[in-house]
Amino acid sequence: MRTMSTPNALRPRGLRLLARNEYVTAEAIYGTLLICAVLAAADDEPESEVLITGVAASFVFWFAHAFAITITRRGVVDGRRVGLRGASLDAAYHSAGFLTGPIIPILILTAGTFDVIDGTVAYWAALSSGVAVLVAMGIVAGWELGLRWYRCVLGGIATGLVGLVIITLKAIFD
Amino acid sequence: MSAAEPGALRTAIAVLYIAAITVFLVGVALRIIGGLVNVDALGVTGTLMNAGAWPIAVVAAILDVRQRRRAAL
Repeated sequence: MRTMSTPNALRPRGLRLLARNEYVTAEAIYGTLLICAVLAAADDEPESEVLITGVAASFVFWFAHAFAITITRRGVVDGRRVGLRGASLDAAYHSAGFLTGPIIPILILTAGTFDVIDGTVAYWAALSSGVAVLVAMGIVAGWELGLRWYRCVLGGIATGLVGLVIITLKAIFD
Repeated sequence: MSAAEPGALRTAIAVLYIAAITVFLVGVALRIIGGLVNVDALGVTGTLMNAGAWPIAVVAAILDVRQRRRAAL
C-alpha cells in the first residue's frame, strides 16, 4: 500500500518496488479483471469492436472511479482543506490502475485488430494475459514473503484461478 | 532535476488528463449525433476519438505514477 510505512527489512527493492508498490494496485487488478470480462462477454464480435468496447470500458471505469474519489476527498479531510483541483488530481492518480492494468490485453487486441497477429490468437492471448498477470502477481507476493518456490507457484495458480472465477461471474452477470 | 520541473510536469499531467476526458466526451457526442442524423462518418470519427482518448490517459497515468514515485523517494 502506498501510504503504509514499511519496515526497511521488508521494503521491496528495485524491480519489486516498481512492480508491487506503484503499478500493481487494487485498481490495476480490477482494471485487468474488467477487460477480461469484457473480452469474455464479447467473443462473437470482431476484434475491432472488442477493442473499442474494452478501451471505452477501461476509460469509463477510470473516470467513474476518479469522480467518486474526487467527491469523497473534496472538502476538509483530516483537518486540512482539499480543493477541487487537488482532490481531482489525487483521484486521477489513485484511479490510474484502471488505465494501466489493461495495457497488455489491449495492446494484444490492437495487434489483432491491425492483423499483426491472427485475430483469434489475439483474442485468446488477450484474455489469457489478464489471468497470467494475476498468476504473476500471486508468485511475486509469495517471493516477497520469502516462501519456497513451489508455494509461490501454488499461490500464483490460486490467484489466477480466483481471477478466472471472477471473470466468469462478471461475464455471466453483465 | 530543477525545482520548477515537478510543477511543470504536474501541469502537463493535468492537461493530458483533461485532454483525454475532453476527447472521449466529444467522441461520445459525435457518436450520438451521428446516430441521430444518420451520418456514418460522424459515428466513425467519434469511435476513433473514444479509442484515441485511452492512450492519452494512459500516458498521463504513467507519468503521474512515475512523478509521484520520484517525489516519494
